[in-house]
Amino acid sequence: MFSKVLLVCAAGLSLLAGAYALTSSEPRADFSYVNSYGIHTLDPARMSWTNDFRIALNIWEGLTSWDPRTMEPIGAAAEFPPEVSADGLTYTFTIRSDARWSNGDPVTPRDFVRGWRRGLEPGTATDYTFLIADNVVGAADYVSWRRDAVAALTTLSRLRDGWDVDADQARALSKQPYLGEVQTAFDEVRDPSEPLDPSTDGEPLARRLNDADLDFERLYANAYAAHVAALDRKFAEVGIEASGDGTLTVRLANPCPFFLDLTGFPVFLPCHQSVDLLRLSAAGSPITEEGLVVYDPQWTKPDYRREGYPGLVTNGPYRLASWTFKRRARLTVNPHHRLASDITCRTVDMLVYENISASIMAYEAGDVEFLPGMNVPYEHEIARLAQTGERPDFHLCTVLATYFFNFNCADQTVQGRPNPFVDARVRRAFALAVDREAVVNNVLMRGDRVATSFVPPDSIPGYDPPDGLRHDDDEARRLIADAGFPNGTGLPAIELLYTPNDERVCQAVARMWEDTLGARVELRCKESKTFAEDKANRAYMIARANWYADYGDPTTFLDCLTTGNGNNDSGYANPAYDDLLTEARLTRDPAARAGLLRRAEAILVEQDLPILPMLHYVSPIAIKPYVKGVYPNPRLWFPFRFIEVTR
Amino acid sequence: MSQDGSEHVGHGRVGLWVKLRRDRSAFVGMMLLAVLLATAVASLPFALRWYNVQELSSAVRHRPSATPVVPFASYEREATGSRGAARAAYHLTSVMGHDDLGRSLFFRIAPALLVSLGIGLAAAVMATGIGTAWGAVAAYAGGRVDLVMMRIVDVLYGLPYILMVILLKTAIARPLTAMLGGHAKYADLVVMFLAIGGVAWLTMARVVRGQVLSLRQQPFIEAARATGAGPIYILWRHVLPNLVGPIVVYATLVVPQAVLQESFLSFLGIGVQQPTPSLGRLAADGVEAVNTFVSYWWLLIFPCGVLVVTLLALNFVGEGLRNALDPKSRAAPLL
Repeated sequence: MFSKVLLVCAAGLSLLAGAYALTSSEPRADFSYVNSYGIHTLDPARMSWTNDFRIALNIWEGLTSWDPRTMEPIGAAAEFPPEVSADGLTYTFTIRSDARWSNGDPVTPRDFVRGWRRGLEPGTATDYTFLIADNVVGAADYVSWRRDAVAALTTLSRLRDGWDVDADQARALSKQPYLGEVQTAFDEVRDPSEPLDPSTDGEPLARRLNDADLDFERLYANAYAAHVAALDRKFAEVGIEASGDGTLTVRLANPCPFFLDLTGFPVFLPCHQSVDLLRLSAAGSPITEEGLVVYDPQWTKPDYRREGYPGLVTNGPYRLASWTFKRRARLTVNPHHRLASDITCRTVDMLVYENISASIMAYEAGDVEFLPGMNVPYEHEIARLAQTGERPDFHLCTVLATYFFNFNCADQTVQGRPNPFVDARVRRAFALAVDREAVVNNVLMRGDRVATSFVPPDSIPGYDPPDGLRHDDDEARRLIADAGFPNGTGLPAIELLYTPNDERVCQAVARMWEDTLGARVELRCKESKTFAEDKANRAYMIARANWYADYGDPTTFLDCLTTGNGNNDSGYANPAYDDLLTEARLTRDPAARAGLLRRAEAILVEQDLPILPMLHYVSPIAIKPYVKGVYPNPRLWFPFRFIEVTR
Repeated sequence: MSQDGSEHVGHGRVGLWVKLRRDRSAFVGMMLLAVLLATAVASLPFALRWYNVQELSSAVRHRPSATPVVPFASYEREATGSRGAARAAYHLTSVMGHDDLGRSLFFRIAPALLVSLGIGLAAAVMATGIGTAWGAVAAYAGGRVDLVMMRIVDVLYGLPYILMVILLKTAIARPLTAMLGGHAKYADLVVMFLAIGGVAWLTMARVVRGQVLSLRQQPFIEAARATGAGPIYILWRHVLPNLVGPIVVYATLVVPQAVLQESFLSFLGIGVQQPTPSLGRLAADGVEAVNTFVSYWWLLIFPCGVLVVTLLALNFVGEGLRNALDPKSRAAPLL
């Protein structure tokens, strides 16, 4: 009997010991911080979340980086400053001779070409392709040439496999002049006796293609071979050139005064050659059957081994030691990095707490050293504790970001009814009726700055945004009457779309519109995924929005509202505005350029109001007092190599 | 001893009120409900206009106080009727404090109670109507009809609730909004009635079917059939009256269930949209207002208190009704 009890006890103890061993296999990191969303992707060409940037820019290193105290560009993998030609169009970067990958390989200019090319190729490129395409000579051409080719190859491969194509797919064939034989076959199908215009007659064209009795097998094979053969030749036209002596020459399409600010961005990071082992494509070819450049998505994992792949190799001050999905990522110092011996913070843990309140409790209990965001309903209390100095470990970052509302500028709402916001007077009236001071001071109480312009004032040296419209109820009533809706009569119910985090601001603003303009506002609170869908489908009349600056130039904000821009959610289109921005792009004199941008922004915030700027954010962060070297800054950039933990 | 079901119930009906009054817990429940409802209804003429009056010109989230904190002018603008009545109602604006937009919590809780109870009652009516008819017909018809009808219930049971609500919402929200003249707010309410009622009837159908299955074996039903009565007549005249007990009990239990479900759906953004208050919404907002750094306790205590009292009262009344209607019940009263 006694032995049995002993046995059970022993079994229980060993289980406990096992569990303990599993959870505490690694000692605590020197420094741990909270990322409340987990990592979305670590592929620098694909990422667009601040949390992903934070990891990526610590484990990789671009040509330049930023000083966290001043946010000025500083040297990184390349000597600083680079050589710039007199016309400001050619940058020559010399890669540091002591720049090393985490496996000891030297960093070469070719690694940068590889990385930047991933940022352009269909299959790997995403949201931030425009940063390269808009600035580097030939990049935009290359991207559209590749996209057209992918579309054409997709169509041909469908036809080859006996599938039907639709109108869009049929049109894709018309854009490929180099396809030769395909072009001839395509012209035959178009039939000169009864010609079809591919841009308008997609449907009949698709029908003829589906019925055509052509050797699609051969046509596809030839087109594919021709495209593969042309790939590198065409890419050579892009102004990115690696030379044997360790320099990288970049030719710009137009002078870009903030180019060195951009080159630290993830989409401009280098890529180690081992990644090419994981290309997924037809045998011996760089691209897939559809023309895409595709990699095994697991390449960003530190412990992934396949076909000789050594696991993720990076060139930053840190390397990724382990990564458990939605739980933790551990960074350790990259022993081959030139600064490795100077870095005092040897290990960093990124811990995932999906509940932000829970992360604050973990911070209070001393489990983490740093909270880069504290977006909780009682944020105002945290902000107050930071402002009064009651909690010296809480800090407020003035963020380079704007919270605003988008007016849907389309002629009709999605339900097909007339949209009152097509009239700029109505948009102006709605903007004038909002008392932002009350929202900022008495609703949010976080200490944000009232916004009357899109670009935050005093944030970008040499740029002074226009004044914008201030709160004026009488003028608002006059304008709404002018537009044909005196006291709101005739105005349809206004749908205001937002996410649960914006509840209070939106209720307050809705009430102001009701009180001042007599509008009937219907609040539509949607969970963030549905919200994003509705916004993308323009299924709203007014929607809340925010924009965080990507680089220190007004165009990071102003470009969002050019006609057809991917981030132009309000559907605003004004040629005068577009022209001013184009003119600014071609202007080299900083003062004249700033003047043009200011005029453009004045159209935005004083005349047309496709957006209603509400406030410029502050964001509370928490840093344990024994941690030095975390500098609160407007872009929430906290490089770990500056951090010193003196516990 | 009479075998006629209607007489059974007739006997019960005479004693119902007496029995309920003797049952202390049921009586307390009814009194509480009466007080809450009377307050809510009496304040309604003002609440309808004041529930979204915001006061943002100064600090918000005032503590509860006996004397009003926010100036009368903000409310007077919105009031109708006599100034005296408005003055009197104005004195109640701060008794439960103000929320994060400076709105009077009292004038949000009062209509919220009615919204929540309304949804609960509507759900109960729907559940009772559909569930009773469905269960009774299935059980009485028996055989293949019963099989098919109850399998339909099983299938609906098997569907995930949230999925069903979302499907319902996407399917009918737009046409319904158009039908109601562009009032998305009311369309939301209707969708929620349908969503909650449309699910609550499933259990009711099963309960009723079980009861009818046993009832239809009873001699008095056989006797009725022997006299040549048709099935509808028998169902209406002899079966239903004997079902009143379980139906009423279950219906009273659906009400609190629906109130809770409403708060859940509203929390997900499917139910009542802001600024229309409902008890669930107010409670959910209140939870966020209480934390380690700062506590606006009144924003949590008052909505939750009213919710708890309402749910308890409804349960007491349901329990009391069951005891009163079921002659076999020997269950001791709760209080």
